[in-house]
Parts: sequence; C-alpha cells; structure tokens
Amino acid sequence: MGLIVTPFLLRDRLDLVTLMTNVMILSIFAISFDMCWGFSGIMSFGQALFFGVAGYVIALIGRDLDFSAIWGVLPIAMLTGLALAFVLAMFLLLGRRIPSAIFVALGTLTGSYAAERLVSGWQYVGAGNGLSSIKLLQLGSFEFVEGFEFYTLALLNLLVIYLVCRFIVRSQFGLVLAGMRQNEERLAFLGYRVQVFKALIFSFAGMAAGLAGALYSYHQGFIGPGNMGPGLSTAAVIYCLLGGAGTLIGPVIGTAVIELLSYGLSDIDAIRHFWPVVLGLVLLVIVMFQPSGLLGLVVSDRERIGSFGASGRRSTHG
Amino acid sequence: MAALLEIAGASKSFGGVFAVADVDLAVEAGDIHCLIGPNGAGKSTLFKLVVGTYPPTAGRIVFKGTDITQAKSFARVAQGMSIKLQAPSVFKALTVRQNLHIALQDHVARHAIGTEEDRLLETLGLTSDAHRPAGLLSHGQQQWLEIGMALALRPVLLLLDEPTAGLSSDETYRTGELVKRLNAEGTTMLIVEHDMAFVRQIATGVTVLHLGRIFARGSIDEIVSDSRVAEIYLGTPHGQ
Repeated sequence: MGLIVTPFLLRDRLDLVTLMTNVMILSIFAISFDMCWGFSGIMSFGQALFFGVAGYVIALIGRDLDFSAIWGVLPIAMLTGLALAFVLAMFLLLGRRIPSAIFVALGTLTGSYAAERLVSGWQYVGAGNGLSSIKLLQLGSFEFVEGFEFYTLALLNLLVIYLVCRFIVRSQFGLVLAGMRQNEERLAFLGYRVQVFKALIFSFAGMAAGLAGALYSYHQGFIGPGNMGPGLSTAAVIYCLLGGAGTLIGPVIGTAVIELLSYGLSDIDAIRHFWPVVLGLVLLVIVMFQPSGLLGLVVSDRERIGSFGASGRRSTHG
Repeated sequence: MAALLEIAGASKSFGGVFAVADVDLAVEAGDIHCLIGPNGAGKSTLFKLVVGTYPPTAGRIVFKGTDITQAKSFARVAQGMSIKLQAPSVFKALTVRQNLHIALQDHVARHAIGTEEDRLLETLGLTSDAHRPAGLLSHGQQQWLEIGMALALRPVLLLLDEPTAGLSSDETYRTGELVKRLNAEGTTMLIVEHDMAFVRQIATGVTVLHLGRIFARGSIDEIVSDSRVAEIYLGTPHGQ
C-alpha cells in the first residue's frame, strides 16, 4: 500500500519518484532470482544475463525498427528472457549428469560474464558505451516518460509478477519446489523429474528478469554492458538474501533498503568509493549471522513456508 | 516366470576400487529378500545401482522384464519401484501431511489425495502429528513417515535400506509386522538390514554380501548356522 501512496507524497520530488520506480523494476529482477534460489535451490549467478539481453533487444527494436508499443515490446522482452534461460537450462540443468549447485552457479556466472565482454566489444550494439536515447515506451500515442506514469507502470508489473509467483509457490507445483530445495534425491525417488522442474522455474525466472530489463532500459533511456554482467547478477543475490530468500516480499524489501541507502549515501564521497565493499560486507554478515534475511527477524521459518495446494487448505480446516 | 528384479554381473567401481563386484541376484515376485553383510560390504551401493543413483560399471539390471540398467531414477519409480533411504530424508520443514502429499500428488487423482493421506497416517500411527513439521518427529517416527512416503507410490517392489535403524525393539517388531502385511497385499521387498531378529521375523530369503561380492545365500536358518557367515559378519561365532 505504501508503494501506491508514495508518488502522491513525493509529487514534487521527481528524483525520488524515479528512484522508487527503479526500486520496483529491480524488485522484479530480485524476485526472479528468489524464484531460482529461494524457492528452487538453483544458484543462478547470472540472472543479469536475461535482464541485460532483453534490455538490449528492445533498445535495438526501438532504434532499428522504430517500434516501442507496449503490447509488443514487453512480451518480446519476456520471450527473450524465457528463450535464453531455457537454452541455458538445456546445457546446465538437463544434461545427462545431475548438475551440482557449484556447476550451475559457475555456468550462469560465465554466461553473464561472457555476454558482458561480448557486448563491450560489439560496435553494432554500441560496444562499451551501450545504447542510449532509447525510444520511449508507447501505449497508443501516449509515451511513458519517467515520473508518475512510469511509476504506475512499474508498480503494476511488480504486482502482477508478485502475484503470479505467489500463485506458483503456493500451488502443488510449489510444494514440489519446497521438497526440491530440501532434498532433491528424495524427490527423484518419489518419481519426479527434478531437473525438468528446475528448468521450468529457471526459464520462468529468465522471463521475469527479461521483463525487468526491458522496463529498466525504457526507464533509464539507457542500457549498457554492465547491465548484463556479474556485477548486477550479484546485486540480485544481495537484494534477495538481505531481504530474505524464499519469501517473494523479502527481495522487494532488500532492493528498497539497498537502493535507498545507496542513493542516500552517494553524496558522501568517503562512503561512495567504498560502497561495493560495504555491500560485500553486508552479504557476508547476512550469510554468517542472519541467513533468513531481514524478514527472518520478524517472521519465523514456519510462517515463511506457508501452505501449499490442497494439503495447505486442509490444514486450515483441520 | 522370470524374477521381478534381476541383477546380472553388476559391478561398480569408484576410482578403481570395486564397491560391488560381479553380483548376481534375483528377487522373485512375492519375496521378502534381505541383504545382510558387515559395514562396507557394498549393500548400499548395490541399492543405489538398483534405484539408479548411478549406472553400474558393468552388468545388467532387469525389472519386470525390462532392462533398466541406464534408466534414470524417476523412470524406475514410474515402473513401480520405490525406496526408503538409509538416513531418514523426509522434508523436515514441511508437515507430515505435506510430506505425504508430495509423495502422492504425482500419481493419485487430486480428489483422492486427502483420503489416501488419511489412510497412510492411520497406517503409520501419525494421525495426531499430521500438522507438525516432519523435522520435529522422533527418529522412529521419521523412519515410519519415510516408509509411508515410499508406500504412497504403491510400489510393486519396495526397497528398504535399514528400516529399523534407531528404532526400539517394540517399534522394530511393529515395522516387521507392517512389512509382512504389505507383502501379503502383494508388495515384493528387498531389504538391507543389520538386525538379525528382524530378518528372522520377515525374510523369505537372505543374501550375504562381503567386500562387494556375494558371500552366501539361502534361508535365514541356513545363513545363521553358517559359521563362515558368522565369522565375517560379527568376527565371532554367532549363536542366536
């Protein structure tokens, strides 16, 4: 609710509305990572790959085809993320051998890094400078500029992604995911094709990350190699772990805390230079002392797990 | 009629060391076949070959007349195999009912799941614990829940890896009665077990593994009266 009234309170502060819009777009991205790691135990260290590639794709469509109608470009961005994640999943998850978490983490990280290097040297996509002056997102003749309108758009997208993810993790499918992250082997012995489940979630998460990437590049009017590299991929991990993995709302909280802090502290030179170090330390402290994140301070593990499908409904009656 | 499960010349080596070497074993439909042997005899490795955790280095595994040597675990389960692992590996953060739900939902019609859950809870004596997280159950109850999950698949062949480990003698006896009842209802069993009283209670046939090879086989009486077996198994002659 707070997110809905925010723009009215901040009517005169465009910079803050823009900041909040950014927080919501990055929250979608953080949720996509949460679906992988928090709910399915897939350590995707390359989530920015889908974010960045989708951002580039819509930027190029705007530049070369002069097209940016919202009904066309957002689905294209989502499809891009979905297809790319599916291809990666084929290699990393659906091979003959059951992949280890480390293998998947390194594979996704490598994908993200390789894409960043490739794009940095490719003139057609602006090389190291990236693509700027991206054609504005359009609905009919209406153009989304940063500010209140884009804020609403980002909020709507975040809500839809959040609700869809919530539906997934509370369904019977979600119960399987819960089993999967606790004991994959056991699940396989119950007859589940664990790797196929992983590939499905990984592809879905790629789709959400692609959507976030497209919104991001329309909002910023810019997309660069750094938006698909390990730096942003790691940011997704930090957002999610800080807020609380496996909760969906945690990543939103984590993103808001980090982005607001980063914004507030960026004026102070002494801190700005060390900001990445601060983030690194934050991550270390979470992993060592508060693995359930900020949300873990207010709700118990039991509440976080929630209920699933038919069995969940039964438990509320009985 | 061919055996339900047939293992022919199965070997498995890890870095040149053979954990299982040239094992032939046939389990007939209706058997309760027990695998015994000292620690490190290769029993668990043999189980893992049967359920498909990894493929054998050599040899063949045939189940219901189909060669499943290279089939993945989920495909073997789909054909009617089910396993209870040695260490309880229930989903600890989920409730008892949710654990059974996961086991059931893949192959039981949605509307029938609740009834089936209730039936299993009753069989396992866990009805009053249905809404507790499985991680809070006693060790014995977790073992039973695990057996319940394996049963939820209504397997043709049930593999139990040390079902009585950590159970009291009373619980062990009840587990034995449960095994016999399931067997009478048509489930064939292959069981790894240390507890000889339990083996005597249930087994229709016994195979002794030692250092990865088949050391002896026969009825429980033949095995316990075999002085060679007592020597390798206990290091001393075994009287009981």
